[in-house]
Amino acid sequence: MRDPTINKTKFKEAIKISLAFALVYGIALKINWISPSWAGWSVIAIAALPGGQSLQKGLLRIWGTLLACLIGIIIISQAAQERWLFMILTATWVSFCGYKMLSEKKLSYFWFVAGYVTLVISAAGPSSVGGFYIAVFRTIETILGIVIYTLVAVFIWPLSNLGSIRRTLTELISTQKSLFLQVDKILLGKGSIEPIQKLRQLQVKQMGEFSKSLADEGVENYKVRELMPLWEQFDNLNKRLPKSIDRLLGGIEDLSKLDSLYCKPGIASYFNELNARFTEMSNLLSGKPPSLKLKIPQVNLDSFDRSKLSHFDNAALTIIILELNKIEAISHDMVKLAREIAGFENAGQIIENQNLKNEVSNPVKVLDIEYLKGAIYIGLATVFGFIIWFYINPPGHSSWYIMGGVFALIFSGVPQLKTLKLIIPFLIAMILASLIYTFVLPKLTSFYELGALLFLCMFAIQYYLQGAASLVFTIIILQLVVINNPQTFDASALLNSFVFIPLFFVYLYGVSYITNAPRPEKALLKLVSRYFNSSQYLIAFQPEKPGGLSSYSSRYRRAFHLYELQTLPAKIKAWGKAVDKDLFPNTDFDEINELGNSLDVFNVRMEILLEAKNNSDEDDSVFSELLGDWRKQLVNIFDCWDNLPEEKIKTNTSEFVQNGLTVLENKVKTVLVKNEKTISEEEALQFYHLIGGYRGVTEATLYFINVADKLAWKDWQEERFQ
Amino acid sequence: MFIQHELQIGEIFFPPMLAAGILGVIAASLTAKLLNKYHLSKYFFYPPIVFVALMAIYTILFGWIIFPF
Repeated sequence: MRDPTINKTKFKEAIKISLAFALVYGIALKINWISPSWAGWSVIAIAALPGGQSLQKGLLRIWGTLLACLIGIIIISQAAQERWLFMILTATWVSFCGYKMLSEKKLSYFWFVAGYVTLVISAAGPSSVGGFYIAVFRTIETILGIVIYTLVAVFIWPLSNLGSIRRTLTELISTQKSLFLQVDKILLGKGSIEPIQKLRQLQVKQMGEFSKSLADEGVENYKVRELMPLWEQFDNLNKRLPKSIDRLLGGIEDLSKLDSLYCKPGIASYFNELNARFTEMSNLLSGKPPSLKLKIPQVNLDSFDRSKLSHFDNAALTIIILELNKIEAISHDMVKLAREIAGFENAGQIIENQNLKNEVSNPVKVLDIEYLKGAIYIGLATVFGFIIWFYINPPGHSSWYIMGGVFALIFSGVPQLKTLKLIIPFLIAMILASLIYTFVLPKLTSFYELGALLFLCMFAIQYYLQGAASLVFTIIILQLVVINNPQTFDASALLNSFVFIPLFFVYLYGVSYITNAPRPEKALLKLVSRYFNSSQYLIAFQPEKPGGLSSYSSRYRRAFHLYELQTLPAKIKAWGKAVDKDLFPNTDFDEINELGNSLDVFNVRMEILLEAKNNSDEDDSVFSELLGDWRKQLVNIFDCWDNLPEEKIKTNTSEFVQNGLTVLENKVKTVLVKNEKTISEEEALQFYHLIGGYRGVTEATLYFINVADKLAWKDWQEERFQ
Repeated sequence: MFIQHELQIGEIFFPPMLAAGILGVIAASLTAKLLNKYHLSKYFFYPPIVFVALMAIYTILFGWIIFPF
């Protein structure tokens, strides 16, 4: 049974959008502005979001349009008579906008508008009613659409984001409290990992909602805007918590004898303090004064009974302790920030706890290869579209150039989408729109009738359709049902559009081979190969000694490989979902998802190892030979996986890793016994940290191999027609 | 002497290359499906380019035999 509350909201929103849509057309036609559909586009673009979000999107649209006008006019002024220069300038600018759109999530819409409006303006040409005229009307009609929709949204059934920060943060804090409660139970030997997985996923979702609510309410609420630096610090600290929890759970999973850990008062007081801190944050949010006296419960090795633990278990314990201390530091700073935000403490500098300073960070900005491919795809779609328009001039004409760039901008964000699948939906929408254009529009005699028609069309789209279907039908209504004053009808243009659309999407499909969109299994293979290439580099990489010189290129390479490790698992999962079930019936999609999860686990273990390497000098320690051997073995394993066709290595690798672990454990015992009296406490801790890191990476590799062995790699490697 | 002319359906005219092209695409798709079915496609280095080549070949063939352009 349908939830009536949801339909009521959707109904109201559909009415508001349709009313604003009809109004902008009325105003634009009344004062004789060209192309009222531009104002209609503005309304549709910002209308899907409530309150402050739509205002923010509207502002981004205006700024993007202004920038595009400027760039479009510059391009026309420089290359009006130089076709190749014109093409290169436009394609370069649109590619640049595409890369920025993909890489900067907050300003994504700004760059999207800056890219596609440039195409519209530049295509108008250098005549007196060309580029400048189009640029001016584009800008003012964009502003008209935004102003009209904002007025409608403010005065008719207004929706607001006020209170969303408090709501989302309260839910998030409650989830985090439950999460730490479960961790406490596990360390006491009473709980299990399974309930934690759901809480972790919920935490990630709620963190996303909190970040979004900060941005949205920040636009509407002056108080939030004033305290935005503090809120952003709070959000950043919040984002570090899941990482620490993941590493903590990784250490717990590596412990072979969890039930042999006896709980000591140190652990109980630690979790009591943590629970009190989250309760304090909840109270501060609801306006209660602070009541907690912050203590700093440090957890150390003495908090646990280690008499029965192996060396590997000691290593895992070292990681657990490090992460518990980090979580304490993060929660400490979060409480202090919450007090400042609530106004109970003076705003000042938050001094970062020492425990947080040693985390692996990525200060060097690197290029994302997928975004770069997307930008090249956009550029080439624009270039080839221009060449097709100029030299062949098939049905569609300048749309090959304009729409080529626009749709490439849209699809670059979703490279897994095969554009051929859009032909049928577009044709269906076009047939329906053609019926309106041919049989209804000629019968209309006044704006009231036209306004009613526009209102009904837009209402039907907004209320009954959603997502891609809504977008497709909106595009068709705005592009096909062309309304001018005086109104003219062009049957040739209408029929040509039916020829243009299929050819155009086939053309985009061909250009999308750059991003491997039609061959997702090949994209997946390349990504896995790149992942292990980066892992190999990072394992083999030795950090510079303190005070030593480090060139920009070596810092860039390290940062690049770290970035690859952090971003590739999500990309692998996304490409995995796009693998064609009909072409590859042996593909198990759950296993592909599991592959992505195993790489996420691998990432966590790699971060622990890299942090351990940063904090110690492997080459100088007494254990350098042992650690060097271990490092070489891992590099060899990753090298094998980087060359996936070698089947014999795949089948033997799990045994290879398992045997390797056993040999290494024996070596660790020998080396420790030999050096028992010569190593200091600090050296022992560093060693356990390193061992824990290497072991974690090895265990994660084993997990990956066990999952990967079940996948149909051979089928994916075979060349076939798509 | 053969005189090239447009094809006509009712009152709509279209070039013969369009008809030959459509048939070429259909024929190339069928060929690709057969090659996939009998695992012969694995002998090609980059099948998408091969598909474009097949389309061009079939278009010219159909243009030569059925719809001269």
